[in-house]
Amino acid sequence: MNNVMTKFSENIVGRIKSEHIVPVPRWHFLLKSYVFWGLLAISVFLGSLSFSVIAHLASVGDFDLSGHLQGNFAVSAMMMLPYFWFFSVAIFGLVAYYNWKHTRLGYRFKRRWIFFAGIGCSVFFGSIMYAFGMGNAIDLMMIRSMPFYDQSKHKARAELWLQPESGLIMGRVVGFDGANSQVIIEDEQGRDWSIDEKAITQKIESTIKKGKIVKVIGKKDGESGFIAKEIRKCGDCYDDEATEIIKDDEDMEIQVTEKIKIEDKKEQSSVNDLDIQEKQK
Amino acid sequence: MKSEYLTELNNIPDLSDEELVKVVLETPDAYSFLVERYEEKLTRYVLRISGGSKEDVEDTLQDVFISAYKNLNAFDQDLKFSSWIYRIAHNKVISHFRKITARPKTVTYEGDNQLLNILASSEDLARELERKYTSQEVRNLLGEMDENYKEVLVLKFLEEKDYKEISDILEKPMGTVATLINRAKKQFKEKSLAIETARLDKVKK
Repeated sequence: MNNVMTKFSENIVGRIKSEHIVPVPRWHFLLKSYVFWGLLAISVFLGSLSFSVIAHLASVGDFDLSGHLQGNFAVSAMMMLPYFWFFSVAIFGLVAYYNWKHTRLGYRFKRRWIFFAGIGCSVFFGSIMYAFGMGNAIDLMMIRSMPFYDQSKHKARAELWLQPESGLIMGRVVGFDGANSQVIIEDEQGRDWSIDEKAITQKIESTIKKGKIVKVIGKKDGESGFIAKEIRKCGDCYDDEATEIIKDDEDMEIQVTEKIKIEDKKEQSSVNDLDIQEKQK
Repeated sequence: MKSEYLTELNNIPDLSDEELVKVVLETPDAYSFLVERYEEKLTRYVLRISGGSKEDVEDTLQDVFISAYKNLNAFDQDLKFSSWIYRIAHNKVISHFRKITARPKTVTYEGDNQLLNILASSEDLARELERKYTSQEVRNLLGEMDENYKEVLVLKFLEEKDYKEISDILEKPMGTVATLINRAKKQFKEKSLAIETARLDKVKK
């Protein structure tokens, strides 16, 4: 080597030798980099999952009901927001941001672009997950595995839907009164309500089955009566299990209903026959 | 492989910094070449941004080169080596000086008058400022500036780095670097005007 070392460079090289300093192995940096990229991917994935649940809750939510409430719109809307999941998206967003900043290229982008990119990724992948039903599945999984989550959802729902004076009630279908076109539901407090469904313009038959939890919008009528304008499925109640339990009971009810219908038809046709015979006479 | 590097050792002056890094990883003695290439530049840079004594600067510089050597495997070949080692110096200055001392008051490196010229030349203020201020006043002026602003001015106008390099050194987006430079120039002018006003008031009295 033709190098004539300066005193300073001599010192540096001397120190490296005397202290046996060696470069940190390359795998160490690669591992660190992979850890940050891995955590970034995980946080984007979890953020997307959280968004899919928000999309699911928005699709089954009751954001159209603010007009039915006595409070102002802001208060009503706030009550219905899925805070847990917004918080979750925010947390994973921050983790993703932190990890992105620690990647090799992290510093080259402005904070707001990283933020918007993170939100954009969560919305994009979250929408795809929602389309595949993952939002629903995660929500259900959380309900089953985390009691506090179930309780807080339950509480928020009850606050909104146990307001008969404001025209909102919710309960499980426990019976039918065919003669008076009434559905009997039992609310959370164990109180029975006779829902008069004559005024309903659009009725979704599949919603009103025994064991199903329904939400009713209408007007209170006396102590335990309720005139329904709309009966809607409780999209986030997950009452299918209950429906399964009483499936046999329900099947039996369907059979009975069918039998009654057949008998009605027979009766009707015999009445018609009699009419024809009388006319012919 | 070894002979290849021995051949390269004979051509070290012709090697780029990035090529030299590869050689150093095989032959640690070659690190002295890299140290020599950057010793003076980094001394000047650390002095300018830290305002510390020459002894402090030398200690910092030792740490910079030792740290760079330890982390040679982390050197990203997409960057210029100069940006990478300036970044290490920048980080070391922050950890060494700014933690233990109050904000530096003066920039001690001689020859910083050129900053005044370069800075103001774009708006024809250079000659005027040069006429009005002594080099000590310019140093005081820079010493009074915010750390971030002072550093981008030093990198842009004294170290003659482009936006991309400054972005890589300070680990900030290029847009932010451009904003910082504009604000720094504005602050520099404001401070120089304040000095001028104070001087005129003194003359009137």
